[in-house]
Amino acid sequence: MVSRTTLLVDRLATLVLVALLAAAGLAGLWWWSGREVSGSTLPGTSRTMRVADALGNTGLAWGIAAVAVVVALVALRWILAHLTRPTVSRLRLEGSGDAGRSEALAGKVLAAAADAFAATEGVRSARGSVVRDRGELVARIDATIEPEADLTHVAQRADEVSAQLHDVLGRDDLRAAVRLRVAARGRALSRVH
Amino acid sequence: MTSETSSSTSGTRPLAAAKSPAGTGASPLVAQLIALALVGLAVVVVQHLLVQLGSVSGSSWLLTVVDAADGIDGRTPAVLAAAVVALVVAVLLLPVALKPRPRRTLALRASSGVHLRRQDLVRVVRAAIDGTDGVTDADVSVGRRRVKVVARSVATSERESELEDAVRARAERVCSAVDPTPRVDVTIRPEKG
Repeated sequence: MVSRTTLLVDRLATLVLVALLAAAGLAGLWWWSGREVSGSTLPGTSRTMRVADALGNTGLAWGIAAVAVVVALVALRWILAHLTRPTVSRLRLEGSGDAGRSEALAGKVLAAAADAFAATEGVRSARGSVVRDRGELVARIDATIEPEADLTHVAQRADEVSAQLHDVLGRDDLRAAVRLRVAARGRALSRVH
Repeated sequence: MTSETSSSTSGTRPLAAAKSPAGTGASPLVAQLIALALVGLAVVVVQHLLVQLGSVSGSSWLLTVVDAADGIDGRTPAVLAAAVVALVVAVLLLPVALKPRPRRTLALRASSGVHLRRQDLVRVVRAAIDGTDGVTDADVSVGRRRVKVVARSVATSERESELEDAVRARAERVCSAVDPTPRVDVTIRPEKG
């Protein structure tokens, strides 16, 4: 999932692109129509000789190449920002103070929670992780459930596991998110509703 | 972590729900394409420099493009077409930059932020309806506040309302787990032949 800052940069970049395309489109229309706008007209045929001559200057070529490389590095860093996952690996437990920090490996705690959840009737599998999402610290469980599962029961169990997580980790700022996917084909459940 | 056979401990409350899942929209895709284009542009500019310095043989791609752009008559339909395309793309991209993050999930009745997608609810409802006496096939669609079930049956018209009630009861039982509970619309269509 993309962080909010990256998403904001993405939206701004898209807006800049929209502005550039709109300007180019309008300029193109103006050029095609040959009309006079505030006392000037665009030449009938394009002339790029000046640009070509300027590019022949080695000093200028160095300059724009340097700028281009910097821009490319920023662009690559920007692409990378979309690929990282905002997982949190260590989590401070409540009650860690003068006696020293007792840090829980968040991944292990969540894996245990996911296993407990996966034992629920109707849940096929579950994975747990702790992530930062839109400024919140979230204990996330991704689970696959059978199509025959009882949603009310699954939701109740989610609350139970969440309460256990609250108990074990003791952090009130932790939020819970359980994302369910339903398998396309069911496996037989032991109980028939 | 305890499995479902033991009851929950000490009355700890479940963790509060995280913000409900949100997609990112299309702006990350647009932004990454822009980033790739910038990298491509940098390659072209650096190649121009290398040709200028004589380190690389061949002609500068940049100069080739600049020279090709020389002497284009503005009054051609191609210029008009390009300008219109630019404007159309700008208009199409504007909502991508401005639309809020899409929310495509439904919440279940729970404190811990349990969500599933519409297509997942469809599978659960369909599984609940399959196996109702007399129903040969069911088509389920989930809308904003409404679940629509069209069931095909071989029942006679006298039994139709009984069947409709049975199907509705099963669908409503599933939907009661969703918060806010969607309205259930059931239509029975007789199987032809």
